[in-house]
Parts: sequence; structure tokens; C-alpha cells
Amino acid sequence: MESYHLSHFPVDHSSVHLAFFKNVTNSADLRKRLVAAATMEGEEGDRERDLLDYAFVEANMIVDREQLLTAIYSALQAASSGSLKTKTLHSEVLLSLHPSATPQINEALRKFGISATTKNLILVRIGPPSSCSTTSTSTSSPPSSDEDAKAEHEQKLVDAMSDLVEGEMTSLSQLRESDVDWKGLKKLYKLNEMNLPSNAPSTETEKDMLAAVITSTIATKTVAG
Amino acid sequence: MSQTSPTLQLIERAELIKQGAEARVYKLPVYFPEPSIRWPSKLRKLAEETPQASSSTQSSSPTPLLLKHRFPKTYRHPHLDSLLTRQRIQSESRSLLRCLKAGITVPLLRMVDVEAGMVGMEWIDGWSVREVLGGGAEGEEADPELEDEGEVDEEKARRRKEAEGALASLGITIEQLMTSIGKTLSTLHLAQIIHGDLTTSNMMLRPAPTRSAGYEIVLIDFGLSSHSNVPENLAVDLYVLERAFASTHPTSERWYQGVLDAYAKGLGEKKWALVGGRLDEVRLRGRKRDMIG
Ligand SMILES: Nc1ncnc2c1ncn2[C@@H]1O[C@H](COP(=O)(O)OP(=O)(O)OP(=O)(O)O)[C@@H](O)[C@H]1O
Ligand SMILES: [Mg+2]
Repeated sequence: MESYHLSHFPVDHSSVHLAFFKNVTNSADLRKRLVAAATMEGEEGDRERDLLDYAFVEANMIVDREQLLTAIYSALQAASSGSLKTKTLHSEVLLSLHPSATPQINEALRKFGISATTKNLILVRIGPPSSCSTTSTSTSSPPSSDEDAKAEHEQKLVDAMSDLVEGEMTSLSQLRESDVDWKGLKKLYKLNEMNLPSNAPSTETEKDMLAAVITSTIATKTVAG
Repeated sequence: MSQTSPTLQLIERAELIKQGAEARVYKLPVYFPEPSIRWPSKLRKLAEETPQASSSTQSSSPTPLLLKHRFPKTYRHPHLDSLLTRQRIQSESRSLLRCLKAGITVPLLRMVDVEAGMVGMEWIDGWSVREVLGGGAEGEEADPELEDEGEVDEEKARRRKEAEGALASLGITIEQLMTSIGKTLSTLHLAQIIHGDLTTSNMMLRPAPTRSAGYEIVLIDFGLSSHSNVPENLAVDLYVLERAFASTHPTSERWYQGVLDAYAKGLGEKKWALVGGRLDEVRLRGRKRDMIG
């Protein structure tokens, strides 16, 4: 799991945690739980929603960190300016990944969210740097204890993630080496007009070119069209 | 009033590299900080037993970002100002995207925040063609006397020397550089993109070990760009560069001819006939204007 600390965002969402899982075997089950949790009542419902409080991203639609982090940044930006189009930051990330300036949330979830057949999965959690720092208002507390709290929180989180997902946690650097759905990406991000030789890019240079357009498309969505 | 937006806060960690009339340009050394990496406890125990399991901890190294802040202009009506800022950002990012799709090397975009007037793009680690040709950095006089006065600090002098040695270190000649520029510009125009402000400061030379040539030309600063295929517009775009060459690099006529030759070749005979003809007219108009003004 990679944890990014962005001190210039409000503390409640100043930390971004990403974990990439390969060969996931319980996607169908996770999807069922997600659907059920939405309407589950009482304390049990709260606990289940807490356990599942991530953006579940179909990793075959992600070519590299830049693509995902760019979408995350625009979701954070939307939250800061009070212009979230969805209920949570996690669903906003999925929305931000979609190239359309005004996508339907269902459409974004269908393209970028977990499906019953998802084999490669990324979990995204955006939250405070540690579980107690939301209540602490002092910024001058000794850094070492802050760091300890962060580390402890991160270890708990990564363990929770690996309990939740049956699969192999892998470095995000491996994204491009896994089963990227280039065909689907090219269609969705309108990359077919780029007159590249074949359907799937064969060289690293070609992949770089496609990835550059994908990331730039996400970044410029608010001024597109 | 309201708290400074997170995007504007990025400026506090960035280094100002150019103060223009329209925009301030910054280098942000780190956009997303280096992440901390953690593995599940059960994997970690495994890793202690079998060392190779922990080997895949490779992470991203933080990349710098170029921030271009189109700050509010107090001399303009606020409504008009934000409208103009939006338009500039819009045309700049649309053109950059169109370039990327056409296979033209330009900085990729990482962030657009219209309210803040900010665009964040890939940092190009290279030199402007202006520096490479010995014209100094933009805004800095190409005047050797300055150095005698000790006005140019060491860092600037070092950078200038490095830029001027760039061609030699990459093993290319000025003629080859001119050919690359002309070729790049023909691709740009074939993609129907008008740059709008072609100068040697708005072209960069970046080492590219994976390319056979060992370098690439990167076009920047698309704030005045537009979409057009009209020969007149293409010709004006070229004429702007011609004038820039003449004023920044006074002895450059022969160099510039190399740009034009490669451009003409890249454009193709038929199209060049139209654009070249136009260019002659544009030059004539320019000369008349000079005589009057
Ligand atoms: N992506 C980049 N990577 C590295 N350096 C850059 C990049 N973009 C710009 N620069 C440097 O900053 C200088 C100014 O940038 P730019 O030309 O985009 O701004 P500007 O001329 O002030 O803009 P405008 O003309 O639209 O008002 C460039 O000449 C170049 O030296
Ligand atoms: Mg410029």
C-alpha cells in the first residue's frame, strides 16, 4: 500500500492510500457486499460500510499512478471548492476517471468500478492521516508521535485491505505489466483518432503516448468540450 | 474571507521562474510527495523468511510540475478578467491535448483549476532553444557586458554554459536542430494547430535517450493557440517565428532558412505552395508596416 500525505488539503482528506491487488478471487462477493451495505440498517450497517469505505477501482482500466492520482486530485479539488457531484469522495474518484465532463455516475461505476469478474483491483482510501488526528487541533504536537500514529494507522489499514481482498498485493509500478484493457481505454478516451498502428500498443513509447493523453484528458475535463 | 484554495497553496512550495505580464510560471519540485509503503503484516512475516518477497517495493519518484498561474489582473473588470483567464486556460489545454493526440511532444497536463487560474503540467527537463542558441534565458539580455559587471549570478552563468554546450553534448549540429524544429512545426500545422506565439523561448530541447536522434523538440506556451487550417494563419505563425529569430539571434538568417526548408518538406509540395505564397505576402505587409510605424 502506498500512502500519500497532502498537507495542503483539509486534514479530513489529506491522506490518500492506494493498494493494487492482482489475481483477485472474491470480486463477485465484494460487489454483493457493496450493494447490500448501501441499504443495511443499524449498527451492523455502519460497521459494514466502514469496512467497505474505499473506491474499488477496476485496475485493467488504469495504466499508471499518474492517471489515478490525477483523478484523485480533481476529486479532492472538487471537495475543497464544494463542487462534488457525488455523495462521497470515493465515488467522485470514479467519476473523475471518466473522460466525459458530465458522466452519469452509473456509467462511471460500470467502466471504472469493481465488477463481479474483476481480476485486478485497486483500493483507494482518502481520509485523515491517522484515526485520531481529526480531533487534535494542535499543529505543534511533537512530530514523532504524529509519525507513530500515522504508521500505526497505515499498518492497520493495509491489514484491513488484505483481509478484505483475496488476491496478491503488488506494487503499483506493475500496473502496465498487467492486463490493461487498451482496447476499452482507446474507445472510452477517444484515442482511436491517434492513428497508432494497432489495437494494443506494442512499444513503451506508444504506451507512454496513450498514457499521456489519458492523464491529460482527466486533468482538463473541467475545461473540455 | 475564504481560505486559500489548496491549488494556490502549491505556489508556496514552488520556485518562481518567470514573472510575465499574463502569468507567473513556477517550478514545483514535488507534486505528489514520495509515498510511504507498507505491506500487510502476514506478508511481512513471509518476507522475513523469504527475502525475495519484499523486493518489489519500487515506488514512484516524485516528479516536478510546472505551475502556470494566470493571476487576477486588477486593471481589468473582475468578470472580464475571469472570463479571459478561463479562455486562455481552455485554449491552452485544448491545444496541448490535441498536440498529444497528434503525436507532437508537448508537456502533458496534470491539473487544471480554472477558479484559481492555475494549470499544472509536466516539467520539461531541458533548455529553451533560445538558451541553446546563446540568446540567454528569456527576459535576460544577451549582452556579454552584463557578466563583466558581475550582475549574472553563478547559477545563471552555469546554466547558460550548460545550455550552450547542449548541442555538443548531444552530438548534434545547429543545422540538425533547425531541421528538427521545421519538421516539428510542419507536424503541428498538419494537425491544424496554430501556436500563436512561436519564439525560440517557446521551444525546448530535451535529451531523449530512447529516441534514435537522442533528443526531441518540445513545444510549450500554447496560451495564444488556436485551431485553423487557413494558409494565412499558418503563414502568420511562421512569420512570428521569423521575426523572433531575427531579433533574438541577429546572425541567424541561415539557421532560419533551415527551419523553413524542413517545414516545407514536412508540409508537402501542394500545401507549401499555398503557405509559402502567403508567407511572402505577410512579409511584404510586415515591411510596409515597419516603414510607416
Ligand atoms: N513545461 C515546462 N517545463 C520546463 N520549463 C518550462 C515549461 N513551460 C515553460 N517553461 C519555462 O518557463 C518559461 C515561461 O513559460 P511560458 O512560455 O509558458 O509562459 P509565458 O511566456 O509567461 O506565457 P504566456 O505567453 O502565455 O503569457 C519558458 O520560456 C520556459 O523557459
Ligand atoms: Mg513564453
